[in-house]
This record gives sequence, structure tokens and C-alpha cells, in this order.
Amino acid sequence: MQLSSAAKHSNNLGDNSSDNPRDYSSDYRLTPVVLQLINARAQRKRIGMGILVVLLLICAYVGLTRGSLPIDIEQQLKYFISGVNTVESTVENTAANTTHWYVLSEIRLPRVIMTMLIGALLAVSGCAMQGLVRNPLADPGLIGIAGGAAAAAALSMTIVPPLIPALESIWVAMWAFGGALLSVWTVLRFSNGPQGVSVAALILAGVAINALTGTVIGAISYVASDDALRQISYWTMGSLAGASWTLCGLIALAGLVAFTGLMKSRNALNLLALGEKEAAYMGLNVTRYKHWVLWLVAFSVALATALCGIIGFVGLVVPHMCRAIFGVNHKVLIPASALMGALLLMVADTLARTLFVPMEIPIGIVTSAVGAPFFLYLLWQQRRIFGGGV
Amino acid sequence: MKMEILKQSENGKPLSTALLTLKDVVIARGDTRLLEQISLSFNTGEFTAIAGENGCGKSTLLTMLSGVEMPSAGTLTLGGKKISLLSANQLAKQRAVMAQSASTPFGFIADELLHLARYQYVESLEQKSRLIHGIAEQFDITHLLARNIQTLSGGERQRIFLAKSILQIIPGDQNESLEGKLLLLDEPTSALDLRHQKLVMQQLVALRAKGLCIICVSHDLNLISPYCDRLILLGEKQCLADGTPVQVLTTDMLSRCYHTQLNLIKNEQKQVFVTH
Repeated sequence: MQLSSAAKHSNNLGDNSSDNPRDYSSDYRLTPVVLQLINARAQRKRIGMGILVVLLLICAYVGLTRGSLPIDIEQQLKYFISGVNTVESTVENTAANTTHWYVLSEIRLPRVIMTMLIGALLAVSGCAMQGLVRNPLADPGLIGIAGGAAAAAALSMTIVPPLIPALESIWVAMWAFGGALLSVWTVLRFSNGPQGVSVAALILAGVAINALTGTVIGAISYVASDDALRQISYWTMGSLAGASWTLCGLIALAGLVAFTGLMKSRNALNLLALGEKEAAYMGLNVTRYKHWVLWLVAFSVALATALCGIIGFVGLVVPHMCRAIFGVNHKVLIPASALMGALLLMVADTLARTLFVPMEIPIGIVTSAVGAPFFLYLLWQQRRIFGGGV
Repeated sequence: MKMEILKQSENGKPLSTALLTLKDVVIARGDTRLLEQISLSFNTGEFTAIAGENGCGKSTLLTMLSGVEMPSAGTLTLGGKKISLLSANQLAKQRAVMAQSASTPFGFIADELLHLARYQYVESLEQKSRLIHGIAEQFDITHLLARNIQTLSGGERQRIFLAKSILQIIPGDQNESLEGKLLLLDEPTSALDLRHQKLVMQQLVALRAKGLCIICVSHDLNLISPYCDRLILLGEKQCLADGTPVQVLTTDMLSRCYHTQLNLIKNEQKQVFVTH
């Protein structure tokens, strides 16, 4: 009896033909047009990715050739392929070639590769972080990674110096890595309630931890010697000068793990971006994924920070730019962020090396000097969107 | 109230077909106890509307029914199993929820959002698109598929989120029955124009006919009561009334529930409408 209430209703409220919902939608049967729009969007994204790859290759080439010692790659390749017996091989030529080859293969190439890897790692982490807390203004520094790393690095440079002075860089990196993870763990401890990780508590705890680590750095700076002070401030501004093939391998491994891990949870990130409750309704184990993504980001950024110091703004600006160009779907956003991050850090590092040859500017200064105004510009462009209460 | 359930079971709908049952459930938000010891059961192929005053616990009840939050006391079973024992994944394929004021801070494209709804089904992209386009046509959102969600109007967004929640539970073959599936809606028509209100109601009734169990919170009694099988009025921390809309909608009951005097009009089809 109740099952027929719809039929009853339509009999009641007018003629049956207009009650068929498909009649209405026939006005809007624009499926081919809509499909075209959707396909055009996908096409645009593919082209955008292609452009990024090309730009990245160009920048890598420029980065390899420019520097305090300009290198002709073509000549070096010839030298590499034919060994010492190049056509116009003379004693000076060979010596020059050997030096150039050494600079290219042992200094510049690992540096270019490491720069791209670090840029990609930071950008991808920022992208995941923003999706996780549903705020396009978040970056991994938010959960205390940079602060913890800097405080621990400062400690290791002054109060607990390494037993063997030659191992100082490794010692500092280990402390920085540990400090970063310790502060992330603390932040998570404080934001983990009975309902899982609360994003608001996460941000507030991050602010508190950053203030605390700032105090530690301040106190150390106050008692530190001039040399140590200089070392600390240089470290916090970041540098990619320590690049080597070993570090490249380490970063590549971490990058691979982070990238595949985040790509695997791309749908989880998309769902989390809709809101935690919505994600739970749609079948996501929210707590598990939140922890997984947070720790993945924490490990990657802690590693990058430990090896290169604090490189700001890449994790914040890059995903933001990519979202404007490629949309918010993490399936495209993650690889796009990786490419864009690699590109931007590549440009920044080349500028840092070449602007005031033979002096090198700390990379953190370049990324902030370029990133901050650019970010303000983005905000200015989109202030209507942000006015809407993000 | 208990009489109603008993009567239904005598009318050829035995209690064993109950899809979702609540037993002595207590619902609290913070320190306030919103609902005390309610016991209800919802059947396959039943369209139930829930109404009541603002803040009486309708949305909280819906959240509990969805299984993502546990009630303070009492048991909740879906398809004979305790809901807390079902994995998030199993649950998502069996029940979908459309929350009140659904929106996103990031500008997803409508088509992407609808694809997300089926992310846990192993099926080809073609199959997914076919399903999405079918549902999109039913809810008149085909022309919105390429748009950014943030640029849509409230009513357009509501239809997209409704389509999303239905896509989450329908089987790959559209002709398959929806028995055992549950759809929870929190004011799905609050921003819709008249044409789309009617469209959505008719689509819901069509889904109900395929065996879907629909529980819908709504304030628009005049819209929903001709379509639903059962109306539950919440108030005074309990179920005030539970039965067919005609049984429940009496002036006494309405004034008890809403604390104001309301009038009723009956038409020749014995449908009841509320006026002031």
C-alpha cells in the first residue's frame, strides 16, 4: 500500500508525462559537450606536465654548465666517450678536461640531481600536508619539523660537539634528523585525542613547539661563540653545497618511498580533503591514513632538512601554484608538485650559485626572497577566494 | 509507538527483514543527553522521514546510524551485525551519508568528486563513467559535471552531493536490487527549487522501490510526507510518534512536538498538509 504512494502522488499532482524526470533532463542532454570540457581539461594538464618536464631539463642543463667554473657539456661528453684521446689532445687540454670532468661528475651533477630530488620531496610533502589539514596555507614546518631540526642542530654544534671533528656534518645531520622527529612526535602526542588526530590541535601544538624550539635556539645563540653562531645561522639558511652521490642515493630512496607512498594514498588524500567526517562516511580509515601520511611527510622533510638545512617556502608555494594550474585532484597534483618543486629549487640553487660568483648565497635566502613575494602575489590574485574563509 | 512496529510486522513485514535496528540507544552530545533509550528498526525498501525541533538530535542520530560515531549506550546493528564490528570499507559499500551543508575547502571538479565516490570499487573507468553519467542524468546535474564545486549554487551542490552518496552504494549493474543498502540523508532538499525538490523525491521513491532503505531528516513535512512510508517525530528526548504520515500528523502531535499551534489540511487523496 505504501509502496504505491509515489504513483498516488503523481496521479494527484497532474499529468504523468511531465512527472517523468528524464523529460526534464532532455533539455540538458549536453553530455558530449561536458565530456569535451572534461577531456580538454585532462589534455591541458598533460600539456602542462610536458612543459614542466622540458623546463626542468633546460634548467638542469643551465645548472650543469653555469657556476664559478663554466663547463662545456658537449666537449665533456666527447672527452668522456673517447677517453683521453680527444682530437686536439694536448697536455693542458687533458688537464683542463680532467678538472672539468671532475667538477661536472663529482660536484655539479650530484648537486643538480640532489637539488631536484630535495625540491620534489619538499613540494610533495607540502602537498600532502595541505591536503591533510585541508588548508592551502599549511606547510610541513607547521608540525615543528624545521624548528626541531634547527634546535637540535644548534645543540650539536655548540653544547654536544662530535667526538671526531671530521665527522661534524654527519653528526649535525643526525642530530637535526632526530630533533625533527622528536618535535613531530611531541606535536602528534598533544594532538592525538580519543577521536584521533585533531587538525586544530595539531596546528596549535605545532605553533607551541616552534616557539619552544625558537627559544632553545635563542638561548644557544646567546651563549655560543662567534664561530658557532655563524655556523648556526648559516645552517638555518640552508645549503645544497654538501651534495654527493651518497647523499643523492639516500635522498632518492627516501623520495621514492615518499612519492610511491603518497601516490598510493592519493585517493585517501582526496577524501581527507573533503573533510574527515566525509572521508569516514566514504569508507576511509581516517586515523590510520592520517598517521601514515603525517609520518611519511615527517620522515621525508626531516631527512631533507637534516641534510640541507632549512629551505622554506618550497613546500608552501609549490602545491599552491600546482593547485591553481592542475586542479586539486592529488592524482595529478602530487606528480605535478614533484616536477614544479624540482624546477623551482633548481632555479633557486642556480641563482644562489651564480648571482655573486664566486660567493654562494644560502639557498634558504633565495627561496624566501623569491617565494615570499610570489606568495603575496598569489594571495593578492586570489584574495576573493581567501576572503571566503578558507 | 511500540504498537506501530508490531503492527507492521503483522502486515507481512516480519521483523527479521529489519536492516537497521537500534536497541535502547542513548545519544548525547557533550554533556547534554539528546535522546534517551530509543529502540527503532528500519526495513529494507522503506522510506522513513525524521522530523523534530531544531537541536532535538536529528543530525546526531543520523551520525550514529551511519556508524562512524558510537552511541553513548545501547546497541546498533546493520544487516544483523553489530555496526561497530564492520570495517570502514564494508560499511561504505553498504550505507552512504549525505551530510548537512556538504561542501569542500578545495575546488574539486564535480566529475572528480563523483569518481571519488566509487574509489573502492574495482571496475573499469568506462564502467565508472557510465554509472556516473546515468546518475547525473537522473539528478539533472549532467551539465554541471565539468564545473568546479565551489562555483556552484547551494542547490546545485546539494544535488551533486546527493548523487555522490547514491553512487557510493549502488552496485555496478544499475538494474540490480538495492536490498540491504542504506541511504542516510540530512536535509537533502533544503536548497532545492520546486522542480528539483520534486525530481529528487521521485528519484528517491524509485530507489526505494528497488529495495533501498532511506532515512531522511527533513523539516519540509509537506514535501516529504506524500512520498515517505513512515514518519518519525523526535521530541522530549524520545520518539514522540512513529507511523505513516497520516497517522503521525495530527494537530495534537504537532503542537506537542513543535510547541506551537499548527493546522492541517486533508486533500481528497487523504494526504495531510501542515499550514499555519
